[in-house]
Amino acid sequence: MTKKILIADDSEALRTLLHATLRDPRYEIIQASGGVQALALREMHKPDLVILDETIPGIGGVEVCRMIKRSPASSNTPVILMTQNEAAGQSLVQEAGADVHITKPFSPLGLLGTVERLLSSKGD
Amino acid sequence: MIDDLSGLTRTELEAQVRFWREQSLLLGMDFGQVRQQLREQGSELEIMRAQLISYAEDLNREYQLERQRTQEVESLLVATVGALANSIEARDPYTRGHTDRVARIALAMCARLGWDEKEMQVARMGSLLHDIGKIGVPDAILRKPGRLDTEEYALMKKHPEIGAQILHGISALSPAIPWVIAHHERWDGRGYPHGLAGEEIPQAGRILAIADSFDAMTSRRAYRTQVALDEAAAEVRACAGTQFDPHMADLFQEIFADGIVAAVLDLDQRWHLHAI
Repeated sequence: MTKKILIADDSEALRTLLHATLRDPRYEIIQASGGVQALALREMHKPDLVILDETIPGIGGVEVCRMIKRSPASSNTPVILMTQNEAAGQSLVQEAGADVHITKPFSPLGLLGTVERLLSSKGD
Repeated sequence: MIDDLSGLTRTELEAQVRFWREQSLLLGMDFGQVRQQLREQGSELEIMRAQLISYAEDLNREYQLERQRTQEVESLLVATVGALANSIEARDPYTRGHTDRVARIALAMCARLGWDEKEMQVARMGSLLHDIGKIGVPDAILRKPGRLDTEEYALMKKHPEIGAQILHGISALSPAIPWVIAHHERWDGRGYPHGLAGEEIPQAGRILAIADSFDAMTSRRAYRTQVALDEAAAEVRACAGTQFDPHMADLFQEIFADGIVAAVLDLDQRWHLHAI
């Protein structure tokens, strides 16, 4: 079954790169450029995994993550939070309740491995 | 815009000053915004640049790993083919060393034909595995010292097809199938298993038929003397156009006359199969 991945990043270039990296017949990629759009698309598509940039405009990545984790419908959805800074990122991840923290620039193979692991540990 | 201010009233002058003050403030704000935008674009470029370097590093690492894996798979394939070839010889004492010698002669012919490395690899695989189907022939027949009766011979003749079936299931070895299935076909159509004639027979089969028969003829003697080799080569010539493809028989005569056949069979010279 196709798994849906929601990507939220304000940089179009980075979204394109992420989309190219994760392109796989098993995945359907949904893209958002801001926090409000990300929340709306999550509601509509019910993704199996969410990748959030910390600095998306509108509602920030940390807040979007917190809202996803707080909602009973999506509290089990794994979230990857991408930050610019390793040290600050760790505390933000704890604050937001994200499952995995990735620092930019990220290793594409590392990201693929993480996505694979998070999607398979959902048990279906 | 007014250049001559001398004729203006005080009120008009004050309006001019207010206008230009506001205008320069707006300009200053715009300028600030542009600088801010440039800063942001610069930092996004910096992030993308770092990200692309990370991609390049991953790509390079994966490429190196892939190359290593390919080499491992190739050496595994060579070892597998060698082990399979040896498994036949282990069961059939009459053919000890036969597979190896046939492969050397066949490869010398292919080299003369100007085949590239990829074709040579398949040729190496095919000639080493040509008798693999003998795995399916009972020991009593395989090891029988005397002549085989009709029924036994019929079973023995199944080995090219059994061999092809074995290789059919292994994608890395399946390119060798023409070598295995067609090495007992005859140019005049009186061979087996399909009784193909002339160029209906895959070239692999036409090459291998000569190498196989030549070695079988020379192996009947206790010693592989030059006289024995010459006689066998003469027989290949005599059977050109009946048992063998005349072009391939000519090719064989060429490399035989050049001393290449004797050289590849001379194990003391340490000709390695992969070096041919």
